[in-house]
Amino acid sequence: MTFYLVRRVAIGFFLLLLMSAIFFTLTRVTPGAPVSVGENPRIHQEQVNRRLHSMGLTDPNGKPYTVPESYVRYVVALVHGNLGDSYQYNEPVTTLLMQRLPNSILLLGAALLVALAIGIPLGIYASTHQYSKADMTTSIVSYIGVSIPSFVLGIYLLLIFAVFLKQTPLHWGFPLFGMHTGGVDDPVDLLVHMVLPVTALAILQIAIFSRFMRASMLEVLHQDYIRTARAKGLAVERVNYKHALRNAILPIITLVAIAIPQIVNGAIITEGIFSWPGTGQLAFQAVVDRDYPVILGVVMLVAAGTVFFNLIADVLYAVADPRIRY
Amino acid sequence: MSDLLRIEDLHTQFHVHGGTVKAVDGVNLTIPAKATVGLVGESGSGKSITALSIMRLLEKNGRITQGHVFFHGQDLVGLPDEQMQEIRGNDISMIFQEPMTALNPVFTVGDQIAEAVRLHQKVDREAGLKRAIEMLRLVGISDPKRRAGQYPHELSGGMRQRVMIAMALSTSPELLIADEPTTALDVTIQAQILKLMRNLKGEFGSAILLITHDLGVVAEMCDSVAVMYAGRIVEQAPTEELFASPKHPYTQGLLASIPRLGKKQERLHVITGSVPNPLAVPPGCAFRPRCPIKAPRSDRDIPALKPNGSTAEHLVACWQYE
Repeated sequence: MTFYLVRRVAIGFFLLLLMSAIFFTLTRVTPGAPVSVGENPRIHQEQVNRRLHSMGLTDPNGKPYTVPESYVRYVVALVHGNLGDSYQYNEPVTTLLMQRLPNSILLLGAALLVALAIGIPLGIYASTHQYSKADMTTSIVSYIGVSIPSFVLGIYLLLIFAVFLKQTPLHWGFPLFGMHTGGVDDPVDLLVHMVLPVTALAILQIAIFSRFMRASMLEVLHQDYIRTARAKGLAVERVNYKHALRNAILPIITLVAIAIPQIVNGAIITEGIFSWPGTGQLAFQAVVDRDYPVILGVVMLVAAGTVFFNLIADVLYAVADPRIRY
Repeated sequence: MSDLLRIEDLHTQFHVHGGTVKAVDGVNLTIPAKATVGLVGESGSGKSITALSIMRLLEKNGRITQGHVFFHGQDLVGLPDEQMQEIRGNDISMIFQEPMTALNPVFTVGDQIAEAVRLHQKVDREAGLKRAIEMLRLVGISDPKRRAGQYPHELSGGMRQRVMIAMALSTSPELLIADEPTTALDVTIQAQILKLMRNLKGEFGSAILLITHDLGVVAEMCDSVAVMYAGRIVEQAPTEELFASPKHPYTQGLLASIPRLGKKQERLHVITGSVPNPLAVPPGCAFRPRCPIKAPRSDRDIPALKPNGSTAEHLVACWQYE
């Protein structure tokens, strides 16, 4: 197990290095530049050159670094824990991420928890009442939930509950972490603001989790050992919740392990609709601005999260399933 | 001997795509206390469904439509679930054909045996585990303490079937239903498991309903035997009597198809034709299309199971003896 973990961590670092190379190259070969006369004719080429130099894109003689040269400079800074400075905000990327991350974690974390708390029991219920009216209804609603993109759902939710019914606030200049305000000082107000975006994000995940849980549970319920447990004289509920659930929950671990790093990623479109200053919005604006360090900062953070949580999932497997040993 | 289990006119049907399958179609069978009764027949003849009907463990699309299963005079058909749960695993235990998949992969075998003990004898975890270890030792597993802490995937097929037997007998049931307990095992392991079951039967005094398609197993284990065909019992007799003078053409065919040592045979005897489509069983005797005798009336009426042999215990359902 120790050897396995060491090997996995080593592979993880190698993967992150590989990903940094790929994404670094991709951002640099994308057309456009952080500053150019072409985009803003009112500035002088001299100013542009000075700016490019201050961004670390040219050497002291004003000659632009090649992509491999600048990648090496990036990686050297990265191993020192320096993600660079944002071109747009003139602030370290780490500072920006620390401002935005809590907002995304709050929003997407809440959505994930809500989705798990509703989706998993729903899936279990549907499987133990297969073909019942409740099961059919869950299936149909899940299907609709999977089919509606969250940006469509988000806009309609805002339109119905905030504009027509005036029950929830329009998302406009409310206090959150970072940005212009010092932080959250009114939890009730925060919760009220969270209802719609969390709903928009959770519906899709509820649909996915419940479908997955139902299928996994149904597969287990047809296993021979379920009949053995019944033949022992155990009540149906005990068979379902002890013998079946313990086996059926195993594949769900992977699903959750993939979902957790997405929290860090933020939700680009949903955050946009609800003016939620999370990492998704930060990343989107960074792409528009060619703010290379910020783009890479967000991407690398998600990559590291994915690698880390996949490792956690594999360790959890070994804990939950005695057949798996490393 | 008093009757432990008495099945009367049992009908079990399954609703499937395309119609209703009469998997068990009027079975009568009696199991005396401490006796070993064999139930033989080919795949699809309804032996396993008979067993699952006794346990009331049918899949959702299956239903007992008629008949009774008296256990100590109490009818199990229609018994409330709570009372049935007290009987299952306590008074009547069951072991299954597939030892590889019949144990839950995420719990230790000790815990799985102890679960039955704790459930029915209302003892604590420690006492349950102690009983589990004792049972593992009784079924011939060496180092039972260590084995009790292992998971099913760490045991071989033969050992898993021993674990299943330990689990089934841990509550000292009066009836053990063994559904093809050795079919999935190697021949040498089969012999060991059968020997074990015989020994433990002496120790625990349980009656056994042994379901098999292996007549050799029947000859070795059973006091009496019932032969099933297409959901009905066609012949029933004490084991020796049945092997010595089979009466039903199907039983005769079965016994004739066993190769014998020392007897030179060019080809083995076969029963021509195949089992009727369960969705379209012919009227009259279901065996008639394959029957060499084709007795009169067998095309219209189903023959009843009654004494037609040399003794009152030898029952057969065939019109040729009317």
